[in-house]
Amino acid sequence: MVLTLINTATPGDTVRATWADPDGVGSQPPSRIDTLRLAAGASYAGSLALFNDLKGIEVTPYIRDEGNQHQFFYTPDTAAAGRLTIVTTDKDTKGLPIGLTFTASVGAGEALDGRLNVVLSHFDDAPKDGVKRSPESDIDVDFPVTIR
Amino acid sequence: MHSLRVPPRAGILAMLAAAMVQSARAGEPRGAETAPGVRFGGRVIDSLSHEPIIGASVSVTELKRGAITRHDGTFAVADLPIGTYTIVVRSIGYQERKISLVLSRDVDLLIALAPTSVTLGQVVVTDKAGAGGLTGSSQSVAVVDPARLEKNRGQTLGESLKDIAGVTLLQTGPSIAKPVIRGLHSQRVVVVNAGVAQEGQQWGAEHAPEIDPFAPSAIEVVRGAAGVEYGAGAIGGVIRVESRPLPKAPGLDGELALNGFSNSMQGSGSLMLEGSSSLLPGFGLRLQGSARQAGDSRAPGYVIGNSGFRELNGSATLGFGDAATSVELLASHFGTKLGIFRGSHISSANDLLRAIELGRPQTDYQFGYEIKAPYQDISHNLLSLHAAHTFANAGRMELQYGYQQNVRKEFDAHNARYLGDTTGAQAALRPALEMTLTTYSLDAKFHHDPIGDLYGTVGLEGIRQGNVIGGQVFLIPQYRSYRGGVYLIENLDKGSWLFNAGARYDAQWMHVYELPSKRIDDRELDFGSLSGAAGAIWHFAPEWSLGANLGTAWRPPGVNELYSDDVHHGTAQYEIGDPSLGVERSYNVDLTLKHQGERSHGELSVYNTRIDDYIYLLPDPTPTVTIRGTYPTFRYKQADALLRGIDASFEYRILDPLSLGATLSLVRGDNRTTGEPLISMPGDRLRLTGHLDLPGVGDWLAEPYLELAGQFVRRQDRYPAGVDYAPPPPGYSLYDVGAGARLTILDQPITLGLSVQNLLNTSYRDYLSRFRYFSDDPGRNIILRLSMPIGAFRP
Repeated sequence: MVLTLINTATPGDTVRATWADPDGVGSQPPSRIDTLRLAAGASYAGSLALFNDLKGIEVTPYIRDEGNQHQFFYTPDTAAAGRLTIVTTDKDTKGLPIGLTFTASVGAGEALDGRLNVVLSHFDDAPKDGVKRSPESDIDVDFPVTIR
Repeated sequence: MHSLRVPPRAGILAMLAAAMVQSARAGEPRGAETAPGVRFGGRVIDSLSHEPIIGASVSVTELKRGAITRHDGTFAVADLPIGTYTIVVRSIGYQERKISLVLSRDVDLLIALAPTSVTLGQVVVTDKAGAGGLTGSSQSVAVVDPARLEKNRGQTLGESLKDIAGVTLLQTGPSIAKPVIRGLHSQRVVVVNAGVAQEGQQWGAEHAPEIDPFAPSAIEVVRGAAGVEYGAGAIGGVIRVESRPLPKAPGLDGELALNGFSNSMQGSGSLMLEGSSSLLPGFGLRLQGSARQAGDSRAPGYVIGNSGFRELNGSATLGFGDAATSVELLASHFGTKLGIFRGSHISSANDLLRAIELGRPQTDYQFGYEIKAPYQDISHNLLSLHAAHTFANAGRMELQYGYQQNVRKEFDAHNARYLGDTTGAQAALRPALEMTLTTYSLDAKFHHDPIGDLYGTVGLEGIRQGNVIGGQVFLIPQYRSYRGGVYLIENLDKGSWLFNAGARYDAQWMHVYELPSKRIDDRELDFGSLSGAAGAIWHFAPEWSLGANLGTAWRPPGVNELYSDDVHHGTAQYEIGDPSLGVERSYNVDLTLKHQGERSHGELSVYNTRIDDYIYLLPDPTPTVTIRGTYPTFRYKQADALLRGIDASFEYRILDPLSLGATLSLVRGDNRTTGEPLISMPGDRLRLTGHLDLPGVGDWLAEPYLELAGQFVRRQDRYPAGVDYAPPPPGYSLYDVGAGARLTILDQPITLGLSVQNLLNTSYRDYLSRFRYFSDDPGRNIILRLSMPIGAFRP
């Protein structure tokens, strides 16, 4: 999973964070979990891309095609919650968020270390209302976050 | 010892009419210095097939003494005073015989029992093994009584067993039930179906035995290790499922059984046809088929979504038998597609915690019959050929060949692991997990004729097995294995004492094929060891006996225990195998007090089983991080375990029409290495039953009865701390009622039964229910059963 955040004020400032477990579930632990390094007071336009490393394919389009059954939820932990706000910007065919694109607003203030939890909820039986997570998560990962 | 000449077929009627005194031994009167009384012995056989009846009881009414027939149908009662006696011979599935006899010298009788076949209007199923082929064993053996089996027909195998003391169920929703014997299950329990040890996929708690619930006519449970007769693996016990013997009398019979269950709106039916022709004397044929379809089960207050199933089973049996030889060929197919409750298909630890917190399914499911992903699609095919021949003055030889193919496909709700190959909708159509297990087995047994008071069996067994895997989820690697065993069991009959002893050696060679993605190397594994048992039964008083048994058995580690490396669905556990695991060895002591009287019968067993190097899952403090979340991690480890417990059952006919009964199961499991209790041991349970026979009405309503039962289960308060996501659920009480009768409408006998399980619609969760994190167990279930003989035709 790759998160790409572009600073809306200075488009040259791009933050990229990767969470990778190339051998899939099990065997070796994840090979790479990057820290998301954000600037205090900045705003970013973000996007998320998903890859199946076992097959070497990007699966983001599949999620987008099945947008009515999926939604990404971005949840900063308590340390980061007051300073980091993520709002999804894309919509499925019913006008509900998917979360492959988003804006991230970082509040000004002291430096802090926290975490950002990213969950991909899968909606089969549970109706998608754009607000509630489903009982089933396809993806559930944490990125360390620093705000400087 | 005594060579028996079986009369020609023309003599069958004469034989039916009376017990035949085959040969009265003109023995010299015994001197006072030898045995003071006379010996009464002989052999009990099926009047039609001439097969020996094993486990029939032969009692001398006046003296309240008796014997149980052995594997070859023989029995002996020694030391009887000279006199006139009434002998009563009984066996499940046969008509009782009473014989008046003057005993003045040693006597050998050939007693033929007529089967209570369906055409006689009785729906008591006939049963080859009689009261159990192991009744002569000093081990604790329970037989599911045919009346109870009849009442549970069409439900899972587990359902028929759960009333037995010492047997509980490991349940994954309403459709998957695994029997647990004295706290042990899965690879530690051997299921023998139609004489062949069932080789299904037993890698997970959600893998139930693949048995047509309509086929068994008798089920026998051996509690405790039975490694000598059943080989390495039978460390926890054995469940033997028997079909009834083939018909040998010319004619055509059939039976139709229909069941309805209100809880899941399940309908099921079974049709059986069997016959024999005078053109081909000795040949019998049976065709049987059954179908079951269930919708979603309902817990009090909500629907357990996607818990329905569809099952289609069939079998054909062709046999030939004469006085000395029998050959039987059986082909059967078991096929089921069963839904897995959506709310339990959780693959993230956080989702599981949220589900536990919510306490009930997050989604309001609507009842339906549709089976959606996740589901399992399982088929089990069995081909069995059994041949037996009795050699005069030597014994009986048995050969059993088995071919089994078990195909298990498990489908995930949305198969993300195939994303990228296809769209999500197409990915869901591909099994996440597919395993094909093929097993060939050959058993040879020789039951030698008694040498003096000594009789016994020598056996040889060989098995070849291969497993081929597919799908994207990893459970076990591909492997091929060869197993072989040789054993000897001897019994010594000394009147009121019966001694037995046996020993066995098993060896297993296994080739595990490499799987680089899971870091599994191409490897060969060898295991080999001894099993042994010794015991005695002492008939210390009329109607009472005491049995003691000492045994040691072993089990090689299972492939899953060696190589697991993935998330376990439903339990959100990451399980990691250990390829260096060694064998488990058990030492078992077992004491059984048995009572079999006119109005009462019961059994009390106490056991102590030590298992060295018991394989279990030890929590690992380092969790496993995956893209689907972070999971608590468990590794297969070995430790010394101790299982102790009490199984008791008692039934008393208080008044002629009224019987009261009680069954108690207690088990205590401890990990002696860590000093903690073992996880997932069944809670203490007591079942109380009352059965009232009512008077019949005219000639159209016979044997009506009423039944009431209460089941009381205590909360399991012994469990290892900090391992489980949720503590064991509270204890519970359930009540069942039932009524039934035999109706005769236009000369057509029909057996009807109506029962209600969980009468009060109690909300409860059993500790051994794998859905206890997500949902209550099913609520009230009204069950209607009907069975009738059809198309009886006698030329």
